[in-house]
Amino acid sequence: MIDPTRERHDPRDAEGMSRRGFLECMTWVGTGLVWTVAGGVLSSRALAQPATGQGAPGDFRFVQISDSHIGFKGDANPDVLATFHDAIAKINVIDPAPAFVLHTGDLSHTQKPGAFDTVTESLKGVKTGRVFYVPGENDVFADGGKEYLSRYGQGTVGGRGWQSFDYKGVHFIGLVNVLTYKADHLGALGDDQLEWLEKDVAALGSSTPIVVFAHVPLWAVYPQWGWATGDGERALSYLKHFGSVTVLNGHIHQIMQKVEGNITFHTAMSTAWPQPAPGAAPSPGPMKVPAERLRSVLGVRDVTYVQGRSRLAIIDSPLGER
Amino acid sequence: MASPTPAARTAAASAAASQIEIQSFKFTPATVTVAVGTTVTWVNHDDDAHTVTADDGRLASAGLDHGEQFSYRFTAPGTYAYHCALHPHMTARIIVK
Repeated sequence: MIDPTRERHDPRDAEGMSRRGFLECMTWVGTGLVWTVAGGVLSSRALAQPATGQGAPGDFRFVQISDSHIGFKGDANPDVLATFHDAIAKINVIDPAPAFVLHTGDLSHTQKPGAFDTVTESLKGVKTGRVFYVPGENDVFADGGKEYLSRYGQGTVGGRGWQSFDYKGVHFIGLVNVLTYKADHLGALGDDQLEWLEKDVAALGSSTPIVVFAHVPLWAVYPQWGWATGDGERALSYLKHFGSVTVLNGHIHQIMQKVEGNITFHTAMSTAWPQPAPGAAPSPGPMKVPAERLRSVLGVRDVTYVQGRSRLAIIDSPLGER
Repeated sequence: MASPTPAARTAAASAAASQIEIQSFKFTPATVTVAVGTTVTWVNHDDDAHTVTADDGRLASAGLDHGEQFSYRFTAPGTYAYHCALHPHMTARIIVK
């Protein structure tokens, strides 16, 4: 897993969070967190339970889970369903309950028969208003997304998997970047979706907080391993004039963060297995850790929006201590 | 049995090279030349799943878990560029002569 403090310092990043702003964040999110600032990126890790929010009516929280890979069998995690259920249990003690849950893809491992049923049934037990999904490549590669979209595509644009919705003044955008491929063999959003995105945000005021969620990172984390979206830059160009943009991705099974202007990028832990840091191994893929450490490298992400704050409070909690 | 003709020896050599290993997110060897009629077998040694998927869709395996394999008999000459549908940066090709 990446140590955020090892990230390269970019002087532009420091502008996004002043020292004063940083200290304010410390006070309003609560105690029990280790805060670090690396390259201007504010990151945190819960030491115990996420702080209880006692916010104003306009405030809310939601949860991101990712890469449950139901159907995976391998040494890196002999029971991915057990850790998925641990993640759900972790969500169910968050108080107040999250308004909704975002699953950022790879629900299944290689579309194994029954995997989508298991995911859907399991998530019926999560205490939240609704679950939103975007697909990972494991969910769509075998049939071009037919089964995934028949189950999770309702309410999305043309039934094609992407969508936007508003919640308490925040504009959420779920994108699909695993069904189209660029000539460079990177996953892409494709022209249809990009044109839709441009129109979708055109009418919004630049002060509208934006949250984008998609499976593969929209920024070039490590293209050598396919950890990038071929036309992600074009999507981001439509969002640059907004004052607060938070991009939540999965796919790489580890926490990474980056700030670029007003856009903050976050990748999430998996609930199934970790992957090596970029370039730290000959290839990506399931990384075996000692069994007693597994739950310390899997987790869920709790996000709190506080009205009037430009930056969302993001707390990544491992499923268990080391 | 008669001694193999040169053509038969070439085919035999091609058949011997017709297994492709999938390891560390690479197809090895990345380029393989085989005679028409050769059956090529891919074996996945990675813990993550991979596929063998022709860029033009002419052939496509299911997801191959660790230890699983996929075979395909090439009956027409040509260059078959392929990739892993799960990790599309993994690319390779089969040249059938």
